[in-house]
Amino acid sequence: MSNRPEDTKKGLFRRETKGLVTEPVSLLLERRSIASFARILGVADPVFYDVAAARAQGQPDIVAPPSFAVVVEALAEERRADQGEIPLTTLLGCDFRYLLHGEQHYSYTGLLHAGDEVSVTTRIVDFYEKRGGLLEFAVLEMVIGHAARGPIVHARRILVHRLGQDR
Amino acid sequence: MILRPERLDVEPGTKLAEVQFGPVTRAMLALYAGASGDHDPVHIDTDFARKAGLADVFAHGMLVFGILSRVVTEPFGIDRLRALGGRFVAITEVHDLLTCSGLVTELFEDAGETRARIELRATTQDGRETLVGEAVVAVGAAESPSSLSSITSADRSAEKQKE
Repeated sequence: MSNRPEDTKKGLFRRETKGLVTEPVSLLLERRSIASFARILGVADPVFYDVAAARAQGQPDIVAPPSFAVVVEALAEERRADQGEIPLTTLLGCDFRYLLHGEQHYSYTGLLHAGDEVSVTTRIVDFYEKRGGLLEFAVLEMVIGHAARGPIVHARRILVHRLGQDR
Repeated sequence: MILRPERLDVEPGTKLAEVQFGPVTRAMLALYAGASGDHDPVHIDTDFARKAGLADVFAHGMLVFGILSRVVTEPFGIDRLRALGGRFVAITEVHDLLTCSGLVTELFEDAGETRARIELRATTQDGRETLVGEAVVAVGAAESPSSLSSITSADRSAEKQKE
């Protein structure tokens, strides 16, 4: 429908960004952001929001829920933006009108606690398509690491552009 | 990760307690957007969603993912969780009531631990599956030393080199 020149190439993601790795971003995990995230999920275990309960369970501070890694990723993006860097979604060429989260996978070698200072690195791993290009995929991998404890969370995210006939 | 000494009593076929959540409200989506840092307008701005050809805003996939994680963290504790993943197979809509379930499909040994593979599903009140996932949980210490084979064979080859 549109005559924009980019419509003549494959999909909307900027496939030339494949292989790009972001500079590590350092972040301090805050109690308040872990606790409010946990409460919205309706968690029952106070290890995720109550410091005293967490310590009674032998934890140094409240523990981040398994999907808090997605918040760490968003915080890293905010920090990158503050530093004047181009957001990953822009680098990737994400069009929010068609964008869906396709898959998310985490593996864990330890726990993230409030008070942890972590470093976050993201890599643009791959692009591919299905259904003759109607579905376009981007694969990202992120590592959350700690200076003393090494990599703690490995994340793999698949983003999808659902491209209908109306473009 | 340090493993708690007590062994979990699970086997293939064990069903985990279901977690109910919802109904999903617009307020929840706004709060999740704020707490998660995912500000994609398609979850919080109905005008934007309609312009994109959708009937309405819909839930963040990762909100459902986070709720689904409770199926394993509530019975077992997060310190046993080794992996968690999922595919977002359908949109979770405003007003949906979610039932999250888990089924142990396999026990296997890895890295000196016995681990359980758990199939996870989030299903709406009318039977739509929206998220299909899998978790791996540490059940206890490995029962056979062969699960350490990668380490022991490396040790053996190191010893051979010394010889």
